[in-house]
Order: sequence, then structure tokens, then C-alpha cells
Amino acid sequence: MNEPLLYALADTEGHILGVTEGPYHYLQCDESVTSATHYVDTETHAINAKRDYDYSVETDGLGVTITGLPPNVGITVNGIYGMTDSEPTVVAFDLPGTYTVKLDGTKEYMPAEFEVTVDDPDGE
Amino acid sequence: MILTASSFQTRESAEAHYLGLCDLWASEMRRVDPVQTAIHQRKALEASAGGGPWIEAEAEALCVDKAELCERVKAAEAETEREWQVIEIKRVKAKADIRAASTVSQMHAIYQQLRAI
Repeated sequence: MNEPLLYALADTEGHILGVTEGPYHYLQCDESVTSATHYVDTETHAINAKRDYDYSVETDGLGVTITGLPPNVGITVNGIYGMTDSEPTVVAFDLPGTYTVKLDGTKEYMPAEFEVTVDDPDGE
Repeated sequence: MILTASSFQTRESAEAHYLGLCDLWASEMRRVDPVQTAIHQRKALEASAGGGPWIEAEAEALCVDKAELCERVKAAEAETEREWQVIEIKRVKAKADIRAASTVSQMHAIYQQLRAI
């Protein structure tokens, strides 16, 4: 069994601030960089801003189809939670109305939310 | 991926919800407290009989003729009966339609139509 490697984190005067299993990357940046808005490209070690999801929404009766989301994105709507896969996400409602759809953020994407309005033309 | 974002778990829970809303609509439409209803009924009985303590006290307070007040009370009672009957017919019809509906959005539409009246 491999023992995990340990790393001591020290300041420039030699005080050890902590010991961690690591390894972590220590990347210089400016104050615009935050954990909520940026991520590191693990190949180039560049710090990139998170992107916004690029998706389209189509409504058909009581159904809404969201196309263009990457897989493994958490989606919450009307108290129900699911995860996207590689197919478009189809949300099926039973009650006409306006609903808020929330998309979780991921490493590379900012969280998002939008509204959809559905109606049932055969409901009358 | 298909995400079922239903507001109701079953048809039965949707039906119970909308039937309840119909009853609530009817009670909102009627909007009379039980004591007032009892007073109206006492006055209506006295008005049919041509007079009584309630009618006489009111005629004196309003400075109107007792016979005229009897007619007014009888007309108001008849109108109230008509209104109650209209509300009741709409309530039972909406509930019957909801029981016969197959989808939640149909039940929702029936209830919206009831409120629009």
C-alpha cells in the first residue's frame, strides 16, 4: 500500500503553516481571481475565467427541452433535482405556469438560472 | 435525460387539491358569517308572517313602513337564495368536471374557469 506523500507549507521566514497531503499548485494571480469565478487548466496551469453555459431552450406544451448543456450538471426545477447526461434535457411538467430552472456550476462553468413558462393547449 | 418536474405526485393528490379549492372558492363567494345568516333567516320568517320583533325594531330604526320593510326583506331573502344556488351549482359542476378530468392541467383549467365567473 502506498503511503500518501506529505507536503509542508511554509512561509518565507520558515514557519510551517501546515502539513497537507497535497500536492497543490501554487499559482500567482491578481485579485480578480476567486474560487467562484475561475479555475485552473490542469494541462497548461493557466488560470481561466469560468464560462457561462451556452444552451438553448425550447418549449412544447408542458415540456421544455434544454439543449447544449455538458453532462453531469446539476439541474433543479420545481423542487426536483437531476443530472444532465450527453443527451438534451427534457423537463416534463404537469401544471401550466412559470418555473425557475437552476443550473449548478461546475469547475469550468458558472451557475445559472432562467425561467420557463409552460401551458397545455389541450387542457381546456 | 428526462426530468419529471410534476407538481403532484399522483392524479389523486391533484384531484383532492382542486376539489378543496372549489369548496374554498364557494365559501369565499358566500362571505357571510353564521350569526348574520341566522339573523337574515329570523327576519325572513317574520317578514313572511307580516311582522315580528326584528322587523319592528328595524322599521323603527330606519323610519320606514313595516309592510314595506317586510317586502324588502322578502326580496333580499329571495335574491340571497338565488345567489347561493348559483354558487352551489357552479361548485358541484366544477367538482364533477374535476373528478372526470384526466390530467392535472385540465383540473387547473376547470378551477381557473370557476374563479373567472
